[in-house]
Amino acid sequence: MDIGILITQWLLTSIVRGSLYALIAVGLTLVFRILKLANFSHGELFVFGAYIGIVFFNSFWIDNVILNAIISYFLAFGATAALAVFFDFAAYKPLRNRDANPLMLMIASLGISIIIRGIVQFIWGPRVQKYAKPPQEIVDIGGALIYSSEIVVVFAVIAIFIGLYFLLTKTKIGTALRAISDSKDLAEISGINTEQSIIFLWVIAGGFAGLSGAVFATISPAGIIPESGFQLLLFIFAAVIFGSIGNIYGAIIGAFIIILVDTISAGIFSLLSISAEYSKIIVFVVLILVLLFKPQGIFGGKS
Amino acid sequence: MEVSRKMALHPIIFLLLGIGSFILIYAILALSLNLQQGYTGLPNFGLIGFYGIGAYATASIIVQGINPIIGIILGMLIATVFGIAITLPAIRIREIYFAIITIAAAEIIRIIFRNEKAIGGEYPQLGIFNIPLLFGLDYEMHKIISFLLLLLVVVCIYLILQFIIYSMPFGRVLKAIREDEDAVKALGKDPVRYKLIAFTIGAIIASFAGSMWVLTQRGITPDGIMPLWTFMIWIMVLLGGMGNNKGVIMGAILITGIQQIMQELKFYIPTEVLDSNQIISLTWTIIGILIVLVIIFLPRGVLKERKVKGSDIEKTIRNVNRGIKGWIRLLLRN
Amino acid sequence: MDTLITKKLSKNFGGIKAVNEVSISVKKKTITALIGPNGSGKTTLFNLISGFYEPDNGKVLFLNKDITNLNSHQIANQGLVRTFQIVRIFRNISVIENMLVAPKRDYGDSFIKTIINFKKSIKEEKEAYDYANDLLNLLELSHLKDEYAGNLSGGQLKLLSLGMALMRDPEILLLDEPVAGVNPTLANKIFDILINCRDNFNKTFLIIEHNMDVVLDFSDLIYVMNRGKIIAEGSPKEIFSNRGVIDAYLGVD
Repeated sequence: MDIGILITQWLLTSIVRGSLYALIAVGLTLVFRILKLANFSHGELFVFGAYIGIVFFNSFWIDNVILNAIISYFLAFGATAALAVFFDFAAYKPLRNRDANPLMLMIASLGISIIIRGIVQFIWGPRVQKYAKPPQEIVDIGGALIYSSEIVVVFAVIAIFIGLYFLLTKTKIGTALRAISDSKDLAEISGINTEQSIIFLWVIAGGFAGLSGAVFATISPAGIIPESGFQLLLFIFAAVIFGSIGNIYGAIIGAFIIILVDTISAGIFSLLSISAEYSKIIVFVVLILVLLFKPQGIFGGKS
Repeated sequence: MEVSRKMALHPIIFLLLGIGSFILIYAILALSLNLQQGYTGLPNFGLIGFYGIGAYATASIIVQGINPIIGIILGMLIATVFGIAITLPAIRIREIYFAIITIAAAEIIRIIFRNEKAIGGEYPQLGIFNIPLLFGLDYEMHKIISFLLLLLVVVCIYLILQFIIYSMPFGRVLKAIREDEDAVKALGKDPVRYKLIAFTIGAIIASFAGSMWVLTQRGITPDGIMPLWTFMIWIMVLLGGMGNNKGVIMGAILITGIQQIMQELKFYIPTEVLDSNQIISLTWTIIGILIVLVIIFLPRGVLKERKVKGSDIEKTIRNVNRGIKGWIRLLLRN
Repeated sequence: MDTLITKKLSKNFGGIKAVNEVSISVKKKTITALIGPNGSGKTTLFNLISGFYEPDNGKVLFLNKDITNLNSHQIANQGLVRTFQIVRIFRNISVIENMLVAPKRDYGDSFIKTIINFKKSIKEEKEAYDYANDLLNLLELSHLKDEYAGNLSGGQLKLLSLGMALMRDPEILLLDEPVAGVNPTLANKIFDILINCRDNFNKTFLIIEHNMDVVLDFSDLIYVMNRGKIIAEGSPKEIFSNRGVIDAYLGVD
């Protein structure tokens, strides 16, 4: 097989996967920084959104596929955002009021991840959920193959990030969020309503994760299973920490780099007849090394 | 195997022996985690990885026809190496980062075991299954002896840990490190050395739990070393009270009890109301809710840590000097 | 031989010279005081001497040995023990256990050695226990010996941390505000204990203090710090009449 095509394929796949991961990573990096929460339930938010999205999508209430998809994505975004806000009120807020340290917050998020996963599995069962209709249109770019919907996804994600940029820089609530990200105490003293901003934070973080899940589930031929959440969790953490906790650009760049590393390693390993799953080990080793030697990440921000 | 036996086990006894064995193995893991987190303050979220090392080392050795004890020792040695390898560089970093590192490390181990034929058997994704019964016994006797063996192991580990924490100066310094590391340094003791030793002992115990699982349950799968199980042990330790060994054993009993009861329910609830998958999901949801409730309302656990008073110290000093009777009194104090 | 000497010790924090070429020397069997306004660098100096901070420049000599680059626990092991401005003890264990964490042990400090020589380790424990009880008596804390350290009052905590430092039988103690927030009677009692230790047990003290009465009454030598530098040195009488000192206190405070 032509090495050029192989590399193009790897790049294309990485861009698609990377954009979905970037969406999730952005939410996690903000939550990690602002709430000091290493959110181990972030993957489950992805799964929850995925299930909401695909179940609605497969029900085909609306004939037009595009409209159907868009509505499912909105539903997924909304439902996951609501779920995220709910758990903040139920668990994280009480802990914040008790001055819980980051470890306790993390443990709570572990409990929540188990709860969400339990709920998902309870309602929809342990088996795979996938897009019920036959395969979609495939596009050939320089010998590498990609679904037309995946191209749309990449551009959509770019649009979302541009929207996010304006949201964070031009709106009152976005500016408030950035202020809190810098210094929560200072922001409070300046009269910023932190509680409101935190709700907004979870809407973004939860919504993006759910949206990413719904998109992933409807596009990926392999579909979604309840375990998907934890599998991507460590990847997202790798991206966030590599890109410096709290740094949105870092999270996006980190996501693409981590996915690139994973895709290329998996590709090389398969060529060498080694199990492709070992690519995950490469990513995890990167995560461990970054945590040991440069936990501030490539942008060296405060951790 | 004899065709007719006077002492055929009543099925309920069988069930209880099985549940009991599970509880005891989880108890060993809970004790190990309690040493690492409850007493030393090192949050090991990759505990199941050390368990996996012990399990796979023992299983691989057994299927090659070698004496299982070699497997157990091999597991402990590898666990020691890993324990030191993880703690040494990571000992000064923040708790959260340490926790994440341990999760990642355990996942690396699981992926390797899931893919390497040399370690994971011919079908690594399925695991190793053909472990023979203990001592060549028949199935029923195997179950009974397994339970008794595990009981003995748990009691021994419990007593050893109690001894280390409450009768050795080492344990006292450990508790101090958990409280305030800088204050310990100001008193001339190097926390790194203590943490290293404590963590490694914990790793060895966890490895031993894995070996025991393989010997009594006669197999190991990669799914058995998923991160979920580490989290389950964590709730046992959280519930039982960090730094209370009796408490974490109770935690093990409680959580396993909940699981087993929920599993039994599937015989009594019709499938239309709740199928078996839903019962499992419900169980995990309940456990998740428990974790959240405990961490909010009882962050130090249900049971408090034992306070060591002047009289306790005097008793230790007296009893050690009184020969065998003294030692027995010391042990019974636990 | 002076017990403790610092030679031009310096430490910068992002452009601010927290400690600026500080040279002091503490003579054996003295109570030397280090005074100065808030933020003058006194605690930073302690941290530098005791190995909690790494100096940018300068040296620390303890009993003529260069300890500048040693770790905090290594320095404590050599016989230099410090306490903290905000008391650091072990809240969730009993007072007696707090005391027993402290002492240097030939057997008890090593896991392996304790197991192999358990009887000797127990003998060590008994000696430590007796010594701890004597100290608790001296500090009038015996009635609290089984109490969780976290339940003690502020003054009692100061006494406990002093007791823990003394458990190590150190050559020199660096006490960071040993009587801050403590009522005057107790403060006097504490200083009586320090003088007792100095006179009858050959102990040396370097003490950070804000309380001028206490300092003037009890110290043998006083160093005055301001903005990272030593601005005056002398006996209580000399310091009391020194304009520079009074200005520093009035000006900055």
